[in-house]
Amino acid sequence: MRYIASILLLAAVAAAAPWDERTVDLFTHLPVQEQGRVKPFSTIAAFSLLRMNHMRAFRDSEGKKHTPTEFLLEVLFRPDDARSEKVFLIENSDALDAIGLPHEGKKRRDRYSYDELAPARGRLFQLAHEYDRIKAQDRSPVQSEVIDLAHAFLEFEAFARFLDFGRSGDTVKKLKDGALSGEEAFRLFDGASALALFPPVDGAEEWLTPEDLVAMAAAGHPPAPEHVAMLEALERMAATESEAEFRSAASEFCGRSRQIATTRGEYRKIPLEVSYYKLDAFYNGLIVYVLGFLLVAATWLWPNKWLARAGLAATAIGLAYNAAGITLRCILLGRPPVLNLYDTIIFITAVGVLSALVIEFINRRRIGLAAAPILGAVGLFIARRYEVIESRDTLRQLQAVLDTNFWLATHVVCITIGYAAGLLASAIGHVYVLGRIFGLKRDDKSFYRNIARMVYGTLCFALVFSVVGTILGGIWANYSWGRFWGWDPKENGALLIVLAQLAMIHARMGGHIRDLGVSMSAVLGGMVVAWSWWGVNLLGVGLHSYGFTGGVWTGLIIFGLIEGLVIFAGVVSWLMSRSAAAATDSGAAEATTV
Amino acid sequence: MNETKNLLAKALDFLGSYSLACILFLLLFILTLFGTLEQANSSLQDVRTKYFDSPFFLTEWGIPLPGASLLLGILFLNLLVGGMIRMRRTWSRVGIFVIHIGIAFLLLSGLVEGITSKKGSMMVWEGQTRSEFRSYYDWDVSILEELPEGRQRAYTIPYERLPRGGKPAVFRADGLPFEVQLSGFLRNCRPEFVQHGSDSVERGIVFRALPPAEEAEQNVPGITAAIVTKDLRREALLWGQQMQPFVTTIDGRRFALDLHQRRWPLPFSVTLRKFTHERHPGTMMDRYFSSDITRVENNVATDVHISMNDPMRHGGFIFFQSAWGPPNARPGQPRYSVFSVVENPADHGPLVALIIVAVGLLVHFLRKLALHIGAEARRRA
Repeated sequence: MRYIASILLLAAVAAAAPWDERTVDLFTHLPVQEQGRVKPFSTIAAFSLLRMNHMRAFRDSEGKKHTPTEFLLEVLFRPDDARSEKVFLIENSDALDAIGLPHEGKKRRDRYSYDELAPARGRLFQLAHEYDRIKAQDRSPVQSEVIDLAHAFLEFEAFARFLDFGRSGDTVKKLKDGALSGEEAFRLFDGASALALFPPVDGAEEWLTPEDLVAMAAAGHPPAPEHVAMLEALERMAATESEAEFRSAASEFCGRSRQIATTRGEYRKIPLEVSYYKLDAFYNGLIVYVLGFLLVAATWLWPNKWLARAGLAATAIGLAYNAAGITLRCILLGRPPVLNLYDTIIFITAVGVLSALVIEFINRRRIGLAAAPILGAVGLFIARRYEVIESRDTLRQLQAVLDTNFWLATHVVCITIGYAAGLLASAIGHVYVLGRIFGLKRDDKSFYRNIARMVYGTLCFALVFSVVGTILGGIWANYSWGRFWGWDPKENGALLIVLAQLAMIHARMGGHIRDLGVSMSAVLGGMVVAWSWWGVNLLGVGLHSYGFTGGVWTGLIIFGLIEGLVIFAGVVSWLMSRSAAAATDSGAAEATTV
Repeated sequence: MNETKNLLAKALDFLGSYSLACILFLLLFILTLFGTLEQANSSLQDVRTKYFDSPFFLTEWGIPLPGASLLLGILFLNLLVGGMIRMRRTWSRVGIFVIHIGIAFLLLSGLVEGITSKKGSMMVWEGQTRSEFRSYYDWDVSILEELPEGRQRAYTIPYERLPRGGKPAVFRADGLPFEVQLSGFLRNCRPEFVQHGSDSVERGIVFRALPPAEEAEQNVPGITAAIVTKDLRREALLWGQQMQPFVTTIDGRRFALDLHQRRWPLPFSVTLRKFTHERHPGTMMDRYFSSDITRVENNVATDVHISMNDPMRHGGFIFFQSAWGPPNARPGQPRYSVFSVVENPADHGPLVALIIVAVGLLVHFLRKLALHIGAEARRRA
């Protein structure tokens, strides 16, 4: 009895043993093919963990933080231990009520382990199947959470089963010797399909899973010797309890994989991608932008040029992080900066911050300086939230129809610069409208006149890029698909921005609106940009649809309501100033126009 | 006389005014917004026809709006009068003047495209040759008469003249020994066999009306045709997907009636030699597809490669790689390629307009920026 207890204790100690740094490093750089791209093991692990835990890390029962690579190694090689780790984040316990899982003593938003959720597995998949038939935009948050949980659960199971063949004895040796019947081989390797770890040695493009190797062997194409050696190494890793032997097998496996991938020219960008995620440019950028904003905000209370300079320096560092992240992504995919919705967020943020700093450089009134870190922080915060909501690799391959760097570099970049400038105009417009409402610098007319000039100038800048970008889009469509304008929702979204900005500028030129009117229009224009940027995707139709993004509707509606309130307050402010002007019987003519 | 002149001047003032420009931009904004939202429930083509082609219409939510063509027409006049003819010609406004020329050019090329362009598709299997392309949305009724030596004589009743409801439309032509009565056109339908019923016209088959397809080009129309002479009346159901035309003999002459997508002949033939298709490895996402074709014109054969974003332009026609199939074809099995085919005299209009607009925008706003920077520098000094 004591002997058994000792073994259990040893096993528990072994299970709790942290992964050796060298092993983690080997696997971090292991190339794997997924979704048409060869990427590091750590990238796959990170997005998998993001889908389950809504974070790129997880804490074990002792509160120790682990990297995504450690997480995936745990699930692959120590599945029994991994099943007890709380890696499934449930945002709303109503989802647990739906699947009939008791959750007494837990918070409404809490983490669960596989073992805790397993009793409700049947009901979870039954409901997920049922909810899957509902259109994404019509699902309730609980229904969406049930579906996401089912996907995460399946993914966890796929990784946990991946090396079952290696834990069943001399499977690979039998396979090599032809001692496995086809049926037995399929049974043993069934489930070994979650990771395409084997780079082909015959020049084929598609990487192989262990299950693929068995299927090919059954079809009369025995695995290449390199693949057999890799399979044996995997088997040794799955079966051994010795850390030294594990690392030795891991070295062999990762070394061979790296060698073949290098020969194929597919390893080149793996270290760079690992560095990209290690740099965590957008998170660090977000932190520095927030710091920049705090420093600039401090100057409002204690005017001091050194504080302002520190705020400027922090914002510039945030922008450098932002730009570095974008540049690395361009290098990794060999593409221009904007390919998907995530790219638009980080790019618009960078352009918005840069434009605000340029405005500050020209005007030196600390308005651009205040707007820059706010835009940066809000933008990168949205990027972070979006990444969690999407929870899939944002470095994605392109559809054939979009495979043209020229148009991506011209039309898409111009349009997104137009978005950024439109949002910046809106941000500065807020300063005017809110300043008027709260009586900021009430007697300083030149202050408001200058803000209005900035808004108008930024609107003009936005119009240039929106018009050129929209027409460029039409030319792309005309030269690639045979129609200049297809009334596709995304095309219409761009047109809405152009029309709104044209209306504002012509209204200003015609004298229909003045400083307050321009500023309120710019706020309205920000709503139009938000709708074109996000709203049209929610319709789920058209060539440009990026797919339904759950959770965005709520954000968009809240944004619209807040902006509506700002505009309403602006109108009230104007009406009050008009009646005040009428009461004093002076300047009435001037006040009749907004 | 003076009053008339004043009225005319006022009308011109309004036509070229900023106020009218603002109203038009706002109306176009509202129209584009509703047109986008309506696409969630209607096909793109239906929305386009309703919002663009009609002078006035009701949105899905019952709001009356003027159509885009009407608004763009007025905008063109506004641009012409206010933005070009009556605009103060000073150096400070050169950029704006150029921008307006570019926008006017863009609207004009859109008009030319709308009136003169032909847009359709051509589906061709590997090894097959075609020398015509078909409209996406317009369906014509053709009457073909077999003549000696394999010749044919064709009469076409165009889509625009097919009866949309009410009483049947009657068509006669010199040389035809009968009149054709068309009725009951259905935009999207399928034939159904009915055991019992009084409305069957052909061996118990009737058309069952279907709701419009999500993509308008997927609609399959049907129409009831009757061939009528003094002595006889023969009725037929013509359906867009029927394999064979309706064939009948009148006075010893054989005629065929067919409902088909409008066909436009090409001055050359296209033979698909090879179709190439690649997916991103391990996914179902298309990475690349292309067609190697041989174009034959006046007995001169030319090999051409057409791929996504790299069309063939020849003789006023443009061939765009559009789709392919069948999706489940195994390696070695024949596949077909689908080209979008466009004949558009204003093909390069948007590019020319963009260049003009871009030059105008740059001139105007760079000048403004330079003035602003100068003023700020003076203020700080």
